[in-house]
Amino acid sequence: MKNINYSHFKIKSLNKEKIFNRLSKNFCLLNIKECENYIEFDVNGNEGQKIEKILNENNIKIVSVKHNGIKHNFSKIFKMWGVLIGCVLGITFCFVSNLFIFKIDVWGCENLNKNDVVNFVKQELNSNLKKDIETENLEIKLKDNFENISSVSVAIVGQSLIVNINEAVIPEEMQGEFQPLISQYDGLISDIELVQGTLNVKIGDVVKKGDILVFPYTIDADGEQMPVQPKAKIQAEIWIESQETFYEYEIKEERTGRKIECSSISLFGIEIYSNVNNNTFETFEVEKSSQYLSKNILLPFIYSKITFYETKTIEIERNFDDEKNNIIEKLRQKSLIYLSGNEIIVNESCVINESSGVYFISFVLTVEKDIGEGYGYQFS
Amino acid sequence: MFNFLDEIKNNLKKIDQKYLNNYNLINISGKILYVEGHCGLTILSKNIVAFKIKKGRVVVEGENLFLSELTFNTLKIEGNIKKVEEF
Repeated sequence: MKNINYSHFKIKSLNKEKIFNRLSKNFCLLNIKECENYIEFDVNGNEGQKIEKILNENNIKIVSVKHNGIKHNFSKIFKMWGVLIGCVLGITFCFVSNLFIFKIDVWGCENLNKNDVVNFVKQELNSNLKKDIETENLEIKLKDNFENISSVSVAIVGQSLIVNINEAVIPEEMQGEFQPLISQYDGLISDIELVQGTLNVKIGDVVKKGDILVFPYTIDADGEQMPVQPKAKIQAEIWIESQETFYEYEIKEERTGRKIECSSISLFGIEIYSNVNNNTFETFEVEKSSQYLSKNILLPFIYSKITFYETKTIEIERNFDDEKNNIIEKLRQKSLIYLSGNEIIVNESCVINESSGVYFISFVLTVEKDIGEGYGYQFS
Repeated sequence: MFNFLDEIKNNLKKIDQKYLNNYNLINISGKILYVEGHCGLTILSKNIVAFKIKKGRVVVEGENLFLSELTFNTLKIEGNIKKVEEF
């Protein structure tokens, strides 16, 4: 019976019977078949090598020998030098890379700049060798150099250095100098209720975004400035404007839905695979994209794709009077988006200008709003 | 180990046992011929397989014949077996 491990022989011999009689004394021969120019047979297990030796000794021409089975295939793998070298290099790379850190991750940064922390850590690291990194020392240095850090932990995870930061929360009273109350919108001041600070505007003034409304100080009886947190409720009429241009006659390029795709895969700038289709479209738009196939830094395969979209030119003729109400309503809705909810709408107006079939529609919403709300104090 | 052929031989009391020890030949439906006690191949081809036995020779004729097993004293022929002759 044939084993899983067996060898298949093809031989040429004039006196085949004699050969088989000789071999059958010591071995079990299987599936002996006579073909046109040669005879083929199988033997089990490791007997193949012995039989090969005997056949060579007796000057029998061996056309081919094929060793099959798990054992042989397994041993064949070890004879593949490319695979072996690849494995050795892979293991060596894994071992060597395991000694280094390649990435610095900073967690928990809200107000702090991550890049500042990363740059500081890079400066402090003598080398990227894991054994040279003193995480406790790094934690102390980070805390000393960044005032906003409440607590910090540094840990090496895999090939990354993780810096986990807890930012300090500074109470309002301990924040820096008081900042003036600044207008957040362009508008016409309609009402002022000052709580503390010194006013810079009066009712009826037109202010621009960024103008100072209340200074962060009061002047005492001696004429000296006393720094205070400016607080005031300043109502102003602000204008929210939305515009649109309407063309009675328009030419547009539109995609038909048909497309042709070309793709390619490259490694280090060398194209490995490409699928090129001829662009047969007369008018078209092109979109190009490329991305890495994997995050593997050793083999950065890049997949590039070019898509040609067929386009056609269409002419549009419209009547402004038919569309007018829809456009105005659309502009109104567009303006309303900018309202936060507590504003009072004072007035709505729409201006339409026409010039040779082109209409410029401007919709203005006048609302009353507290323009200095919530910006009286800022950390400096 | 139980041997079916030995059992048959033991039951044949009338025949002297020494004449039964030359060879055993079993033909299974004309598709497989199992042989015990051969003394070596003499012809091996698709249509004829011949082998020596003690004091003689056996010739097997058929179509698409091949030896599915060959050891020092047994062999198994497969194919369409038409005729088995002893000389």
